[in-house]
Amino acid sequence: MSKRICSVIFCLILLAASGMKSAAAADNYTIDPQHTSVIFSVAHSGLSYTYGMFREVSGVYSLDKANAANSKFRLVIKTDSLFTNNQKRDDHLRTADFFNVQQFPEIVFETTKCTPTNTQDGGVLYQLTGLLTMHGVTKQVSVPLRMLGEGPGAYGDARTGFLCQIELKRSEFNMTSLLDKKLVGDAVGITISFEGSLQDPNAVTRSP
Amino acid sequence: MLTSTFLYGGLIPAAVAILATLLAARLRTPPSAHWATGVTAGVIVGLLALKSRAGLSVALQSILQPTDAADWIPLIIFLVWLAAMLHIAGNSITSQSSTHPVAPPTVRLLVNAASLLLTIAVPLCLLSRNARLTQEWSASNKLACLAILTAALTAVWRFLATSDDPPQAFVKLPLLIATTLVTALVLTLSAHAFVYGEACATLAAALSGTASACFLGATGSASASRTSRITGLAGAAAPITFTLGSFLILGHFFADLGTLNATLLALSLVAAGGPLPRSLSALPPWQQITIRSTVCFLPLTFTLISTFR
Repeated sequence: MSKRICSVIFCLILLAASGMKSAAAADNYTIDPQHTSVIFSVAHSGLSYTYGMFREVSGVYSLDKANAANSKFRLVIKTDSLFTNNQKRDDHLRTADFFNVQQFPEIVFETTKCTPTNTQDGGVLYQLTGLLTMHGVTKQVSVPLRMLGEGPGAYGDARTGFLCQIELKRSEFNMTSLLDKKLVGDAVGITISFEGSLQDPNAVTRSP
Repeated sequence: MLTSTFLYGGLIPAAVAILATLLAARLRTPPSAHWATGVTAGVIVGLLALKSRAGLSVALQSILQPTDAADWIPLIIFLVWLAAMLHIAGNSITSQSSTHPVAPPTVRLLVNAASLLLTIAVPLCLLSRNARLTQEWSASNKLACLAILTAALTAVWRFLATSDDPPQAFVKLPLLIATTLVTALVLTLSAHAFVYGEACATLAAALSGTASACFLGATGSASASRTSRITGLAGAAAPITFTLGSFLILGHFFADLGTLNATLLALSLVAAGGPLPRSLSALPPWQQITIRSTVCFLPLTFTLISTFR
């Protein structure tokens, strides 16, 4: 009996040790807001596209080189920071007609699954599946995230950089104002590019 | 866009208000119940019709799983209607109080408790997810804000619910419709919230529909005078107060409706549907009507000027 207990404890210790090893293998990055852009475009009356951006973006991610499927990403966008180069339009976009920033101050994307693939040009493409919460609605979305590069930044810190382009339907997030006669289009094109700076591995590891 | 707003936020709520008023009249309810039912049905169906433009499932989901603060308004108006009907039923019991000496105070207590609960719960429900208010305001500021909103809703409701003498009642209706339409316009143009503006306009449509049904003879006999057919307008005090009150609260806290404009619009509502001071009751009816219209239109004009400036 005591032999059995000992073996169970041994297995638990092994499991814990393997977990610690995989956690240690992942590199934790913090997104650099100064080198991060979230751009959106939406059709206006079917005549043109209006472009805008969010100026306040933050996030963290961990890259596991040994097992890339363990990599995780979390991105937070402050809706109040939207900018389309027109104050009146920005004020309108902040109201309940669109983002309702007073009630939904953040857009959050958090991965649940990460599938890496090698591209023909030798790069890495992460196919991310995650939960996107916007305007009070949480939906599962798939995002192709391309790693653009890896190397030291201007101050010598280790960095990685990414790009993704997706299209969402705002109506799926209960943002249905001015859809009539396509005054403001339903499909919203989103381009996100960000850089992350590697965190000190001796610092307390924080789950992204 | 304006065509669909007119159809979904104008014609549909007006038609539903007419049907609901006629149905309430067939059930031989008091005239005030006709008004409460007509306006409530018109507003609720109008709000859902506006949502249904993005799909019926979107409209249904907004009721079953409210995410946006405005999604709560149909439920709020329904609960307000229940309270109004309780109040109307209580009044009818009171008038027969000789046979039930204990019932009226109990009903009155129940009505007052329901009214107090609603006036506290509605601002709480609408503002509970306002990021600025919940995260940045201190507890004392939140309490003060809740107290002011509760007091304002209670006061407007009480003022609008005072029984109406026929000549005054006849002028109250167009003034209430005008106040509602101006509020819708100001919410759209000044607060940059078109979705609140068109939703607010459903109240004007519901009032017009209910009034049309009453003029058609739903309230009183067909031979009754025009003014007597407006009898019961005070019954719609609760749905009017909470529909307009909710949109003023949303416009101020979730859009760009300024405090001054919100206050002036609330004052116009009181001037449109509230009682005149006793000192003015000795004046001839046309003078009373002139005073009421002036007091109602002054703040409306000021709000419009500040909107278009």
